[in-house]
Amino acid sequence: MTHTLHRRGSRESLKKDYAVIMLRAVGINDQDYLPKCQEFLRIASRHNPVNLASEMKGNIYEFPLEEIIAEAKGDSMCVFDNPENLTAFLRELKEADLGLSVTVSGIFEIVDECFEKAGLKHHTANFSLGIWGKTELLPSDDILEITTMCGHGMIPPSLVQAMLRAIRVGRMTPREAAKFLAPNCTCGVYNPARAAELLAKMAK
Amino acid sequence: MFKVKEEACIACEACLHYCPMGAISIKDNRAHIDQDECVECGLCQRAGNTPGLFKTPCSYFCPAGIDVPRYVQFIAEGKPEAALAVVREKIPFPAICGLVCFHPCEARCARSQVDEAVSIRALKRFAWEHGNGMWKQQIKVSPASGKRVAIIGSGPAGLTAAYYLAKLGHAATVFEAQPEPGGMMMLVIPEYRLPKDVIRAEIKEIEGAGVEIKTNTKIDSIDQLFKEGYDAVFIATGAQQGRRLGIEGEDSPQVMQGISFLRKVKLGDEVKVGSRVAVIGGGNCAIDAARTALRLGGKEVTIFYRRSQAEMPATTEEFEEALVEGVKFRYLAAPSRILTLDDREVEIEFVRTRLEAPDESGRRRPRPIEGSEFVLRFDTVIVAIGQCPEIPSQFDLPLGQSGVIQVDWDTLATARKGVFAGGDVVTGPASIIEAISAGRQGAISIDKYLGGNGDISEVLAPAEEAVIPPEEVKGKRRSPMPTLGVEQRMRNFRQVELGYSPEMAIEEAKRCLRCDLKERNCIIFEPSDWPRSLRHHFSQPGVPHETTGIAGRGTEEMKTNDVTGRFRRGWVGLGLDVGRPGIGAHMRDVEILTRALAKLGVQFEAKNPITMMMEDPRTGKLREDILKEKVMSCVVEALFPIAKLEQVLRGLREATAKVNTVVSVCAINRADPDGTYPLRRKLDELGIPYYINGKQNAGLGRPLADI
Repeated sequence: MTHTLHRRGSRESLKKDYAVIMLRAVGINDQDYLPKCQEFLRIASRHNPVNLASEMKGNIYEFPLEEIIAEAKGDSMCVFDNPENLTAFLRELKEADLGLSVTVSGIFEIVDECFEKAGLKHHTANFSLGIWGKTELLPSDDILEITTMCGHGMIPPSLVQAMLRAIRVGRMTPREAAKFLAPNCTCGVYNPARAAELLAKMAK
Repeated sequence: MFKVKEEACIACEACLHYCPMGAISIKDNRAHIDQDECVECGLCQRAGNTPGLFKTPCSYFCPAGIDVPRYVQFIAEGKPEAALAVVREKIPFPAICGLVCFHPCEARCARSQVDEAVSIRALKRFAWEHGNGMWKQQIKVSPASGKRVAIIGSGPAGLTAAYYLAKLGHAATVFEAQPEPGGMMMLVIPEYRLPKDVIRAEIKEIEGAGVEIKTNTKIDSIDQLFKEGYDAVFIATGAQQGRRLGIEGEDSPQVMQGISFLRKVKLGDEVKVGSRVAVIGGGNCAIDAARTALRLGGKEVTIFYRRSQAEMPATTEEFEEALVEGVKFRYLAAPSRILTLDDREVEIEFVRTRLEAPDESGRRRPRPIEGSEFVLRFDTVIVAIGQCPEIPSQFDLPLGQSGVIQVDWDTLATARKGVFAGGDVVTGPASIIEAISAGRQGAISIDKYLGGNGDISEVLAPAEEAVIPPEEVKGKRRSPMPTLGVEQRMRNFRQVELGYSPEMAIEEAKRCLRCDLKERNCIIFEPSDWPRSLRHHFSQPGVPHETTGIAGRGTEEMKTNDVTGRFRRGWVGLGLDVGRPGIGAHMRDVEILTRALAKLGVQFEAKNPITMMMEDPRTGKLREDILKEKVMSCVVEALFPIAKLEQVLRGLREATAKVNTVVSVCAINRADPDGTYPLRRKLDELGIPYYINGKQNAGLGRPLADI
């Protein structure tokens, strides 16, 4: 329910970040689920996603797309870095009429516009009220912008710092570093395109 | 499960560094994975299998974290200026460290498993001797912050802190009681190891960064500094008070404290040494005192140490050089009393010792052997058994054992607001590189305290070109450091180590194995019954997954609500991710939050996973074993009418203040038929902030309630 809600950053940065998840409800609409997952992934792959995954299998930074589709299991995820691709994807998804729940994480107004263009009507909305408790334990805000793109917290801050060191001394480009982090987020909701921009900015 | 491959592990701690669960520890020079804590996320394995990104043992064990393989590579390529720039990225004293660092990097060098460790310290000295000012080209200097920081003490910790604080834009003023800055480096380490000119040159660079140094200025009151307008204070006064033996006759005129003996010699005062000299102690200070005594005319200089050679804290190089110069060593002997015979001679009564189990220092404890006393006659006795800090009582700071200042080890903050302390004054006598590390940490913490981000990192060297790790490693032994002949050393303080020639340095640098660029394959994965990561992943510790489904029934029901629109109008679904992002949580924290929510009258899901986890279904009692468990995160979900929003969030805010972790909070709500969200209106009305981004359901699921 919560895991794509940790994402944070400036409006400009979040404009390039849309995570889509398709999931079923056990005992309600999980009949013939896997072929629908595969179809979701096939459709997504046609709209230039920056990440794509089947939750229990892995993401495209770990496995070839064909393998992920063939062995899809669990919920399905994809990430887009612009509203145009998201809209086109949602439009085709609506036509496919898979009958499973689809949620989109992103800036509210922009997602609303995409829904409208795709002929969809939002149904529920999940609002993030922020991080409470012992926030002094958290790493710095710029590191959090990257680590929170994996909702399960599988991208450790120290690894982001290692990437920054590697970029600064010329062992990696920001794009390579962003891709290196991607397999940690098995669910595939991490956005390497946005991460590359953030890393490049932080490394300066 | 993940396992450590014993033969491949070099205890570099990379896996420990990346384990998000703290499940890895180092024992007996090897990594150990606590299977109860491991969630099988695999980050440890990636740490060991990813060349080029992780700290090598040499860098890891350097307290300042210098990127050793990188600068050694530059030397191998004949680029000492780039090598110096790499060293300068972490320390402002490359020359001093090149000459006298105790080089923990070499102790863990992987090359020592083939033949001998790479001579890292000597290469650092070479980089300094042959480098140029390239490091200044990329240096980061922040604009003036308007803040003032007082640094008490001008040793390596104080000057390092001042250097980085000045670069961060703060006005850094160093107060030094002595006539010249440099602390123990300037006043104690003998000229034949560390010439004053070298120290002066490095301090000049620090002053060039904007640091003001006020010598002959003793600070007795911190309050006075604050009154003078300083915003923060860093205490780095070192440990300059020699420890006493605590035996009869110690105050004899022939008995000197090692630290004051070395200080007088370095300051150029006249110091007379008899021909028979006894030095008591086993550290570098004792060796320095013995070698200095030889240079001042001592004919027979003997170091007495109450443990054996294996326990001596002095570095091997210093020990070997002392042997070469003629210093004698007698182990397992402790002085029990000193008898003054006349104004020239003393007798020392020693007692033999035997070693027992290790004490808290990790060294074997010496125990006197009854009836084993023996007496020897000397002209001069030098006591060098350690030092302790001397803190003015007006500082009004809580002190620990041995009189050191107590600090928070992560921030170096003392009990007084705005006052930080680091170096020997906190740790007791340690090394220059450890003091530099403390200075760096002090600068980071003080900058954060003054409102900065504490970022002192910088890249001063050019990017590396592609490097291929060497294949052939055998047949090249360590190049010995050229030294002055023994006969040339006596009666003077000329520098003993002469340094590598360019050819020697390049050959030595090429011995580096570049372990940072090689796969270690030190952690292997053996599949187990079902992935534990998922159990923790979905916050279901202790519950067999077949009874709960992948994500747990409660979560599943919340999902179902999400899909089918069973969220009743006017109701809110609350989602808490306890321990996220990336901190982890104890189930006790989860219990605190769950109980707080229950008191607020919220409805949990029909079969809430938290309740299922925490209660034994047979007895209905709380399961203590679960409450002790730590998880990466635990999801708590609940429902309540929107009218209770303010009350629930206020109660939750109070409860989250009691937990020892972070909690990501979200709230879900159905859209009205006109497409607007009542929850958003309510949040706006109450002035409760929420992110500009969230998660919306596209309404594609079926069956879906009519909206």
